[in-house]
Amino acid sequence: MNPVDRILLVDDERNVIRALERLFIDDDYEIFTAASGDEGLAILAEEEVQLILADYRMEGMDGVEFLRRVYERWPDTIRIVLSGYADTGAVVGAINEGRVYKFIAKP
Amino acid sequence: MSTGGFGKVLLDRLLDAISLPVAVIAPDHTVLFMNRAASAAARPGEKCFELLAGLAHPCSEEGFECPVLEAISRGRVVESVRELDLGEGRRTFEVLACPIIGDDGGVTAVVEIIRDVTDSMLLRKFKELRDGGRVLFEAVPDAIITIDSQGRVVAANPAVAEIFGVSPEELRRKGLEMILPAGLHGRHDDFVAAAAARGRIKEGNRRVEVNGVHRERGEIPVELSLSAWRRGDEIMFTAVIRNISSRRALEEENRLRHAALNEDFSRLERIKKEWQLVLDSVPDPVLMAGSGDEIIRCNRSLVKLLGLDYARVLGRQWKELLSENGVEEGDFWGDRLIMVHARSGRAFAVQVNAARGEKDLVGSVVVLQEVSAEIAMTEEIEANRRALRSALDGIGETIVRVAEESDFSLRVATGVRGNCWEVMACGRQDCPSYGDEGGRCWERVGTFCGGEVQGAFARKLGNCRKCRFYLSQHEDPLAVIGEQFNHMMTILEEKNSELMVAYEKLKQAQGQLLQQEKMASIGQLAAGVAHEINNPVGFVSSNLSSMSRYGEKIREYIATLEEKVGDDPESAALKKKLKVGFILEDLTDLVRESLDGTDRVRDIVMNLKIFSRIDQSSEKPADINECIESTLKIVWNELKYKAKVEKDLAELPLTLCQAQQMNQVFMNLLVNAGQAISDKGVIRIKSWSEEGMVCVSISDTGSGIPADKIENIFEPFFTTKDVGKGTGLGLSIVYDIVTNKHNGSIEVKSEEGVGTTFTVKIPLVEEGGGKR
Repeated sequence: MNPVDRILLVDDERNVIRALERLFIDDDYEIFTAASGDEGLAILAEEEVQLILADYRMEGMDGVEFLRRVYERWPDTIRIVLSGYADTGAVVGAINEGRVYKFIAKP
Repeated sequence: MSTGGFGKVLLDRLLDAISLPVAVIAPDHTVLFMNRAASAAARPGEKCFELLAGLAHPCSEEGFECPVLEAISRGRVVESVRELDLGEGRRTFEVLACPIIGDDGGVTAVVEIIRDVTDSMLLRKFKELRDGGRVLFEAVPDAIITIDSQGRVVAANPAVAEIFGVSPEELRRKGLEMILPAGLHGRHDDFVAAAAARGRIKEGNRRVEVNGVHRERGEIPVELSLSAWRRGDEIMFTAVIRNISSRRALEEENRLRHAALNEDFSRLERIKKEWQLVLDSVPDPVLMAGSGDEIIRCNRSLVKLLGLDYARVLGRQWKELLSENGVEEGDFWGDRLIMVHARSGRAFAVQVNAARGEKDLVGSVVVLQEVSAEIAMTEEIEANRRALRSALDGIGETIVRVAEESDFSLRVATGVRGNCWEVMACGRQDCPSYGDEGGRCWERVGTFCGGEVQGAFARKLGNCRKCRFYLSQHEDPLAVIGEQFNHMMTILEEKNSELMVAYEKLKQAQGQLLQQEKMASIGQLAAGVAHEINNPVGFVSSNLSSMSRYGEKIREYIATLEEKVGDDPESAALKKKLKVGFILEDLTDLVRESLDGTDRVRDIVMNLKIFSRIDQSSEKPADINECIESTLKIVWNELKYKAKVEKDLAELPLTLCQAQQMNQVFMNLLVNAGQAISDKGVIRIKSWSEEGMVCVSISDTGSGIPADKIENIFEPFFTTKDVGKGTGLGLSIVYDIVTNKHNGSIEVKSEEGVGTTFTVKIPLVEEGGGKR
């Protein structure tokens, strides 16, 4: 697998995206951001991205659904779900449908 | 006489030839001449009365006018009749006195011619008699029949036609049997023959009543008088026969009338006796008084009451008599005047009924109706009524008190006396009833009555009903009412306490349900809120970290700039004015403190999530210490200003439990501990495991629980807190979760003013059900 240098952040909360961008500011990553799953898919269609961080709860398409679609088209991407909602069902769904790499509970 | 000698001889012969006595009598009664017939009959003497009548004095002296003197005085022939007994029995003589007129015109002598007319008188008399007899014979209504000694009818009068319906001639012709009853036919002649032979009749002039036969009417009753007489040598029989049909009828009628009268009389007598008997059998004294109130009649009850006999009662004024004999007027009983017999105490209601309606019955009937029993009964009823009233009042009062005070242990006084163990002398001092208040034995469960352990009253009622003591206590109906009421109260009390228990259980269950629902919804809410808080806290925390890094970079940059700029006073002044030195120094603290804040927010959110885990309805292995910690964080807000929390938590194995519920247990206990501390105190939390149990004790240095309330604290809705501060549910939920849901136990030790320690122990259960 190619070293990761392009990351897609998907969250409908602008503040979260901004906070995540700041985390990566010291490292040499190219960051793409999307406010929804559709927007994220549109970016993925244009750009090659190795790692995708998606919020679980979003307006319209949720994180798991988004990652499931991402897996269909770009199965080589590393997919990570961020969620503040510790729901077993969400985890199971994320793992089975979104084939996520990691489920990270929000602090 | 101047007939001369011849004439005189002739005259004498002539006179002598006359068979009648002839005498010539001088006016002085001297007999001058008598013919032969007179001389033959003459008695001694000279005077006519001596010679002819055999008397010593002139006949006129015997009330008989002497015919001589009468003829002299009258101067003509006098005829008179006189009876004399001249030795041949008394006979009747006809005396013809002819005066002889002398030349001087005076009577010189009287010629008396005497004729014995006795026989001719008899004959005449006989004729008269015979004629009279004939008349009688033919006129009498009685039949007269004469038969001869052969029984032949020789005479029958016309009355036989009336009596027997046969003519006398027919009877003579056809014989006597015509009128004889058939039973005498052939025999009558024998009777006649026997009587003729005897010479007399057996019946001898007696009247006998026999039957004869009327030709048309058949047998008729007749009265028969028989007489026998002689005609010459032959005995004749004459019967006088009277038809007594009508007499018989009359007699029968009389007899019947008499009998009817007798019957009426005896009926009257019987009616009188019956009524007397009726009156006498009336237990109340009854009397009948006349218009003057005098007693005319009375019954036996009255004389018995007065102790007198009838004689001393009848005719007396009844009021006076009663008063004299100790029966005095008393009070009115209702509208009835009461008289009281002082000696016996019997009371009578006086009832005076005017005897009206009969013309000759004026007065009144007085009835002394005995009302002693009624009065006694009325008084008893009244007494009972009063007693009942007071019993009911007592019961009513008790009911009101029960209602007002909600005290179902209240009882009415029943007047029960004595104690069962004394009365029954069973000697069972180990009986629950021994030493009990009298009359509580039938309410007591587990008594030893009759050698058997008894149940509650309702169960042993049958035995009680046979128990001497119970019965003796229940003779008084009022006591029974009281007892029944008390039994009812006992049942009510039991039912009430059962209901109370059920109600408390229900309330507890409902409270728990409410609490659980509340907790569940709070949990869901908390989880939602936690998520919503988590996001901003996440990026705030992330940003703060970024800001910390930014700060380092800026500080590094400023330090480099300052080295390059050197001691520029303007820059130094601006740096001082803007307190940049402090800012750079404080920036680290600011970020650290902010991160500390976000950490705390995150902790709270985390604990909220742990506390309200939605999937906690089933048991899961949990670390009790973790439960304590997370709970402590939740309640820390309430505790931090009051109490110092000291934890002594031993390492615990995971145990199967409902962690959310255990959280609630610890939260409630910790909140209570905090509230028990009024000012400042210490809360000690200790956990350990022993003998297969996980144990947690939570102690406070609070006010403690009063000893009299300590047994109530686990009851639902029992609270000592101010209104609004406590629901009274906390400890009951704790108790329910620990003892019921986890089969554990909870203990409390408390000392007022020192503090309280709750110790919770739940069994240690490993996953898979094994108990360590």
